Amino acid sequence: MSKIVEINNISKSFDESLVLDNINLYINQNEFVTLLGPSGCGKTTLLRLIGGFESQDSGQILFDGFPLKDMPAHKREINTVFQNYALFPNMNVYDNVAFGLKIKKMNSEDIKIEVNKALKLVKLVGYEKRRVDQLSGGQQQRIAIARAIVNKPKLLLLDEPLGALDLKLRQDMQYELKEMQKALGISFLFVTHDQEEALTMSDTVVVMNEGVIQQIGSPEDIYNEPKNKFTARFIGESNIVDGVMLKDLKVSFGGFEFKCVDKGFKSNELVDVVVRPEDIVLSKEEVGKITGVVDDITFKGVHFEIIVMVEDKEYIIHSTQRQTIGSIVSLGIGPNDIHVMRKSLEESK
Amino acid sequence: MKSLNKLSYPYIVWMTILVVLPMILILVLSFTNIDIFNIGSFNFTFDSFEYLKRPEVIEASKNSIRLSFFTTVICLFIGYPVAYYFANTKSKNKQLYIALIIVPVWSNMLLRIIAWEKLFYPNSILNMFGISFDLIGTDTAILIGMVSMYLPFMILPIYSVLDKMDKSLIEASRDLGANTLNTFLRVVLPLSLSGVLSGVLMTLLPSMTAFALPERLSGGKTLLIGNIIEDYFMKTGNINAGSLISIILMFVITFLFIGLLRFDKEGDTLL
Amino acid sequence: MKNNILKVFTGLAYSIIYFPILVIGLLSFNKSVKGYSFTGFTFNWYVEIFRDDRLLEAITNTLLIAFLSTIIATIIGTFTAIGINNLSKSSKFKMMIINNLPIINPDIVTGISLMLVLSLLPISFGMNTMLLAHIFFSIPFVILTVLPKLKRLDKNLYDAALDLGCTRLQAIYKVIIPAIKSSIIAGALIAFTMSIDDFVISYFTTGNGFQNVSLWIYSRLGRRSFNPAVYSYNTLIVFITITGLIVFNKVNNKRSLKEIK
Repeated sequence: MSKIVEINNISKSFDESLVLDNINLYINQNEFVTLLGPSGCGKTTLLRLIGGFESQDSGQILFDGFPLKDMPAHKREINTVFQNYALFPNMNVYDNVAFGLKIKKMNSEDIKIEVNKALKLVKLVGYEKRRVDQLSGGQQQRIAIARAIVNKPKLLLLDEPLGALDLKLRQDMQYELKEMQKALGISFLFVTHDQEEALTMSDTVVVMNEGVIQQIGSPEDIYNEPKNKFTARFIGESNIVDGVMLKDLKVSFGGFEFKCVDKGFKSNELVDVVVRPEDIVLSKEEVGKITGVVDDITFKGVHFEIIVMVEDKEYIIHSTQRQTIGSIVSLGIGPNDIHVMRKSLEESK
Repeated sequence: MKSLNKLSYPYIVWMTILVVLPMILILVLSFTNIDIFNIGSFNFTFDSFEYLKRPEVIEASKNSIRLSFFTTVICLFIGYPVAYYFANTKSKNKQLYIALIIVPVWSNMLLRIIAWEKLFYPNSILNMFGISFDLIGTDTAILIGMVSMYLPFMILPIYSVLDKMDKSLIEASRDLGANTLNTFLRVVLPLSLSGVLSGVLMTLLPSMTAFALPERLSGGKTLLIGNIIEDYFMKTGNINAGSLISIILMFVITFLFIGLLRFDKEGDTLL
Repeated sequence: MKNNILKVFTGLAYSIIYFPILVIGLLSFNKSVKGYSFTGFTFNWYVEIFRDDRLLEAITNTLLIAFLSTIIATIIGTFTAIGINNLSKSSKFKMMIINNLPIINPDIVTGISLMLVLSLLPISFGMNTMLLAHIFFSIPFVILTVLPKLKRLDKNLYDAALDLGCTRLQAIYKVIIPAIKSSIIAGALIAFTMSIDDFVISYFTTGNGFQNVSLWIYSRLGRRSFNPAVYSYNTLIVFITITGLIVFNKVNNKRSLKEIK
């Protein structure tokens, strides 16, 4: 697979505060990449740099092998689906979708064909004459997508496009976007703060925080093998406890020693241990296991969320089995469910 | 995105030349005996301040304050209910009613002043209806004239705020047990304050500095501060004293403006 | 009941605002020149508009200045507003203070300020200076009208246009300006209104006998050369405006009825 975008050492500040700090990233052809992070983490700025709406302070972006820096937005084979869609309020659906082609001075017969194709793809054929403010949020969203893809970009940028939709619609659109990306055979760069969205749709997830890339990987990697505390916290709920790496494949936390699959740490290195709530198995009090008191229990639809207090430490556990508050339980954790991470830099200081 | 802000740069130059520069000029003129139309040697002097003590200036200041105050109060008293009516009417001709408040501005103001003037003399066309007024020279004449001229400027800003107000707020207030009066005093009025302030400014300022209106409707008897400035600049050639009065007027108005803005937390006034 | 009180106030407001205009209308059909009594009905003053050269010239000047200053002020004001909308918050605030200065300044002070500055320039007073003055006092109103609409626009609209292949200029005139068209028209209407009725600022910035209708009236107050034809001119203007409004209102109501259907 060849790289469509290559981002090398990009930094950017606004009013002296660093928004992007030495970002390195590439996007392959036909790849669905998601930038995931909390608001203010720099993900939208990175997207806008690629779109050509801002320029970087240092570093380089290569598009199809050529530097983007001096290529204005309207010359790039990149199109954007904006947050809140930015549909032109004075034009109807057809004119919105046809806009880019008209600017390129394509002849009107061809425009008609292309617009029709794009509307078919977003399932809105027949809406051509509607005013955009008469459409529902979901329909506006589709028009925004049609307006971008009709220009046949090699890369489509999507800036939190599903943020304004309700849950059901959002889930439908997630699936459709993924299908669309496959059908079009182009790369998508998707920005979101919703981890579920990122995990569902992407080939590659890029987790960002405070202008720094925390981790790049497949959704499975990101979820199962978070590289640091931030990623672990941000992607799903997890229990993060202090531990000591005794030697390869052996870690101690909560007063007990556990087998694990991690290695390459110094002996007796202080580490963070991550255990996902669904990976902990509760049993009756057993000797040789972490034991605690059930403190709270909430029904979450599919499972119960159970809080167990082990000395001063809270463990969150997802289980289909109800427990009674106050009862004493033991926590079973298998070697594959323990993820050991190096302490992040600031904490080790 | 960022590059668009450059479109505002020429305006900064334009406003500097036409707003800031003349302010400096007026300030310089106030404290010197410079002759703007024949610049030669000049001195700094406080001579112009002597004019402030003149009886005609003191009298005109009092007149300005009194008449503009009453004009504003009357306009607010009439204008608020009208704005409230427009904001709450369900008539499909609502837009027309509001437009009809603005249309008179297209009619020449001097002519409207003359029309009042002609009615306020004992001999007027009203005689044929058996009516006769003798009001020229009274405050009443000037107040009627001013209210007639400036009332639209009170109604429009209040209307635009009331119209934008979420009507469910009134229902919510009722729902929580407030009666009509309490709802008005505690919910509607505070929320429409920015419109009231704009309206007050837009009536107070022009009525304070009018000069053709008091000249005609007082038969030349009641002078306002505007008349003094006009007289000093255009008739007696006393530009330095005229400048001083102008700059004082500007200060007073700026303070009024800033003072009123403080009540307007939303920053809607004229913005 | 309460509604009736409001209606009384509204009636009172219309009466006090329209009364002088009705009187002007009455005077325009009055045979008497002085207008202190009604001496008979005549259409003569409507014909007279076209016979009094000086008045006709003043009317032409008024309309000419109003149209020119409106067009120029609307263009400058719109582009400037787009610029201001993209300034940072603090510079925007400072700009709006400067922009509002001429609005809160009394006309008389604005007039004198312009007179002083223009007297420093090597141009003679007359049409040019009056036109410049009218452009000057109209722009702030255009900006004030256009800016709120710009603020409400999706802030990505300009970027979206660039993204779809527009140059910067194309993005402004193909996307931004059509999107704020209604408020540009409103701004232009205000500018026109301010210009057509202006007396004070024109008074201080004209010269060499250049007169608009207001100056024509002021210079003839109480004199023999005061031609009642000006009442007719005024009545015509008001009549045309109100008729236009009513027609526009009817058309609009019909259209919105259709949309409901």
